[in-house]
Amino acid sequence: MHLSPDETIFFGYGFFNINATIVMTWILMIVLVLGSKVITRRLSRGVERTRWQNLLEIIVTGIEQQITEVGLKGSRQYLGFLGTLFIFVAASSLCTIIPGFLPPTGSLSTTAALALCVFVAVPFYGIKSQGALEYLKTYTKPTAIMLPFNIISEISRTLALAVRLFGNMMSGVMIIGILLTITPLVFPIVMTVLGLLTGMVQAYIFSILAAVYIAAATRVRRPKLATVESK
Amino acid sequence: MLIDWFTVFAQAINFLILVWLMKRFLYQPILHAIDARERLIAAKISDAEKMVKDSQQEKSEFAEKNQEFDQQRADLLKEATIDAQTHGKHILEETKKAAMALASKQRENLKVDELRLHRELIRRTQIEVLSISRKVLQDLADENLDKRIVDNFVKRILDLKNPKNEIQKEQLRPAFISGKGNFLVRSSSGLDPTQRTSILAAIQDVFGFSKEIAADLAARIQFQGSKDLVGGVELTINGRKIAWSISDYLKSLEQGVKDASLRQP
Repeated sequence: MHLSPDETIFFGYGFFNINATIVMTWILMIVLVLGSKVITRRLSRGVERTRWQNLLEIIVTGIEQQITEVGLKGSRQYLGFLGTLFIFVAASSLCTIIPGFLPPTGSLSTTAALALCVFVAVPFYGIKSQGALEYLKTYTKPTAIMLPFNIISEISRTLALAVRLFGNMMSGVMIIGILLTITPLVFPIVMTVLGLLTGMVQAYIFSILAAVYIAAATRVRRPKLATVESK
Repeated sequence: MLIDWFTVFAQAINFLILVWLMKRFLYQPILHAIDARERLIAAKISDAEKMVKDSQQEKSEFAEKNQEFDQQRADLLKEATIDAQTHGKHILEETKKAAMALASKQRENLKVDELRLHRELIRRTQIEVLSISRKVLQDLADENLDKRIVDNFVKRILDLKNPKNEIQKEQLRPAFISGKGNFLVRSSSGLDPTQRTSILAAIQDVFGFSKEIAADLAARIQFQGSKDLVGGVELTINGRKIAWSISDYLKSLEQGVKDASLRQP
């Protein structure tokens, strides 16, 4: 039994190993992109629209609304990154019901890659929003003594992101696998449903945490100006 | 080893590609569609608001016009009512006048008809009365009446002696003494010689003629019976006439009745 789909290698050449994680990711990417392409091919711009378009619009506007509620201004510029994070993780969890499908998020490499993307995206958006100097200054707040702690916090939360998602997804798959060997009939189905719920929650948590980190990095701290009323 | 660094790198790349693809094929089209729909809905709402505003304005204008029309209608109706009443009064007055004129004319016509009928009645009565009188007198004519008639005629001649009839007497005198022309005595019944003599004697007495003139008159005198004279005697000489007859009285009566009927309204 494999703990991670990384261990299932389809093609290998030295350092380059095309394993199940990458293949499943590609399959998932193809499904997502083709699905989007098909649904958005005949988008209605009027009041009447198809059910699929309605579903997609609900998802997209829901994500946008969540980003706004987190506190990010100009939610549309973050929609691509944070929305894709959510949809990718959620789709991975959802596809676990397909027999033979191994969720890419059950691989620590994938969750680490996603966490690294978040790790890079936070300073990227922070510098884009405040400028490099202002952003770097945030590591010395409230005092310079906090610099190492802030850096450790940055790294540890990235690590936590990766491990949390990996642990949840891997555990879900492992539990189902173990239960199938013990009680092969009804109980694994219940656990699969629970796993779906857990997967959705994890997708939500991962993307919301990423949004919160980006929001914290992009928040401009300005001194309060005393307003003087001119008479 | 749980982490395969090539896989991490590949997944990061895969994720970034997926971000780009999703942005390209999902978010942008969906967001554009949503924006377009929002614009469409906003435009429709704006149009609807404009329509509502326009309709409210039109409604108020319509209400204002309606009020104006109502006012105009009321004014026109009032004016028309006053005109109709005035016209009605005028027509009524004219009708009354026409009716009065017609009634007046009718009354006049009735009066004329009545008068005509009255006159006709009088005329017929007169004719009947006269006719009856004549008939009665003709029926009653006998010798005594003839005698009385001749006596009255003689009295009439003798009446010329009266000074008030002097003018008439003098006018007759030349006719007697000229010795020319007809000397005619007409009577309703034939006169007997005594009556003829009494007439000549009366003439002699009134005018005082000589014997020659008297003889001449006696020679010339002609006596003639006439049915036209109803109970009377008539003496005609050279266009002059002395007469007494009931017929004259009747004619006088007839003339008097005619004059009276013409004077009557």
